[in-house]
Amino acid sequence: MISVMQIFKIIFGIVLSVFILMIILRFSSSYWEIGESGKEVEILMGMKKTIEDVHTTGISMDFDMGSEDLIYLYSPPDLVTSVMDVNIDPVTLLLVPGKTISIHREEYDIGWWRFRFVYALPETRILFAPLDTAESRSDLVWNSVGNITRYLPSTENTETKVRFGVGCNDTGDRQTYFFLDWEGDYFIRTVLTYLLLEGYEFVPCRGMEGYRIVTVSETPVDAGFQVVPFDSEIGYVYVNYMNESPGSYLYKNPLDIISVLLGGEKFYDYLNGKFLKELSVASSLASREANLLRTKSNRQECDPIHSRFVQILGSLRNGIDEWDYRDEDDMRELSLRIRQSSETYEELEEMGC
Amino acid sequence: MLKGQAHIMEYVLLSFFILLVIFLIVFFLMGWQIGTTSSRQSILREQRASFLLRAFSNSPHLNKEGFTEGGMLEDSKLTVLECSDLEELLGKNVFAEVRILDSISECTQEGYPRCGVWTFCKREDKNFIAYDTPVNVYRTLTRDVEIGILTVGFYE
Repeated sequence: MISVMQIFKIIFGIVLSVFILMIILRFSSSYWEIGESGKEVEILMGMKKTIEDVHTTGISMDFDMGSEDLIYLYSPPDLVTSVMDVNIDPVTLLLVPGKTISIHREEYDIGWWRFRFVYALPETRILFAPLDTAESRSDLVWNSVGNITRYLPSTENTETKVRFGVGCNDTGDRQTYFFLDWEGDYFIRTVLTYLLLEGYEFVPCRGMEGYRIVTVSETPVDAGFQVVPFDSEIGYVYVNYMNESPGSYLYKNPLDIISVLLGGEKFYDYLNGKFLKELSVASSLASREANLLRTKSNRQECDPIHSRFVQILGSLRNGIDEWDYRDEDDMRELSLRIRQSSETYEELEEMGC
Repeated sequence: MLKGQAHIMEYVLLSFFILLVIFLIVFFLMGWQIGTTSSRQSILREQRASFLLRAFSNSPHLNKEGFTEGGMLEDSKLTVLECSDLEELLGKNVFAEVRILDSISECTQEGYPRCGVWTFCKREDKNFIAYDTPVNVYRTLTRDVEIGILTVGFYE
């Protein structure tokens, strides 16, 4: 016969055990989550530091994120993750999430100032479809291909690659791709030159898994991502993917094209915002510096050039506040001012001012 | 009856001690986590200060053309740089100072080029993190290169 005391012991034991077990389970699951989050925070901190190191040193590096899903999305300048948002400012970053990314610094040089930005890209393959004929080669088309490649990272020193190819050539039902998987420098130096001289002709490519296809032609055609150059500087990017609403973006330099290619409208707006803001600060600084040197320097022959430089930079800076980077006339004006300022700066350099 | 009550008390005491030990372990582990988090915060602050120093010394806005790496700050660029420019480029609450060795005179546009100290966004606040490093300073008018100490940091 079980006594009352024994019944009490059993019930008390069961209640206590369940209670302790619940505490331990709850705590251990929270602790495990905290541990996992801690690991993710460490990875994100490491990535931010690597990006900053690459930005300041210019030495390219690979970075292993451990998981493809660590970054939900990159909404510049914030990396959105499950544990925290990482603000990447003041570095200008074009990032495409991936398990392993290679980080590179690039510069857009306008002579008296360089716009510095960083790429963080997973394994990427870009396939150009330059549409012209062998009889009438289009310099605009082929120069655009070269310029886009030039401003994408050269990945010779990293494990994670950005590779380039050219296509396509339709032979019946099958689509043929030429010259896939080349490194950027070799692609510009050898492959593009060879194709240009040998008179290859290409047709628009159909979609291909793992490739970003860039169609370049002087007139718009039906393509997912198309670059239509108007002249050596300005043109339009047309985006018309099946699952997205179509869009058109004015470009004034290859960086605009690359930003749309890697991150669509979000990257396009972000990069233009950063570029114009930094250009405004740079032109203001350069203008004040030229004024200072004009008043302090004893070299009278430098005076008129310094004055001209100040004037051009002043109009450039005023224009940046008013111009719209989606307006063709405004951006033609911007390109003109930048070109004039670079030429005047060269004059100053040549005269040793 | 008394024996039964004593037994119950034993059980209650035993369970109290078991729970105490469990809670002590929980508090110890939570405390350790909080410690890790605060040390991570401190590493992040140091990381930011270190980045600001390198970003300033390598900035294409302030360096002489042609000296891309390692840095060659140009005195004419430093003289025209203002606090608002620095905040636009590196963020709010940042400060910087460049001091040519043995120099005491603050650089203004009037005093330029006979000066050797440039300060930006400095205030009396003692709560800051900063690093310093030796830098080359290019004297634009005389074309000399001098050694200076660059200090960059931010107020917390």
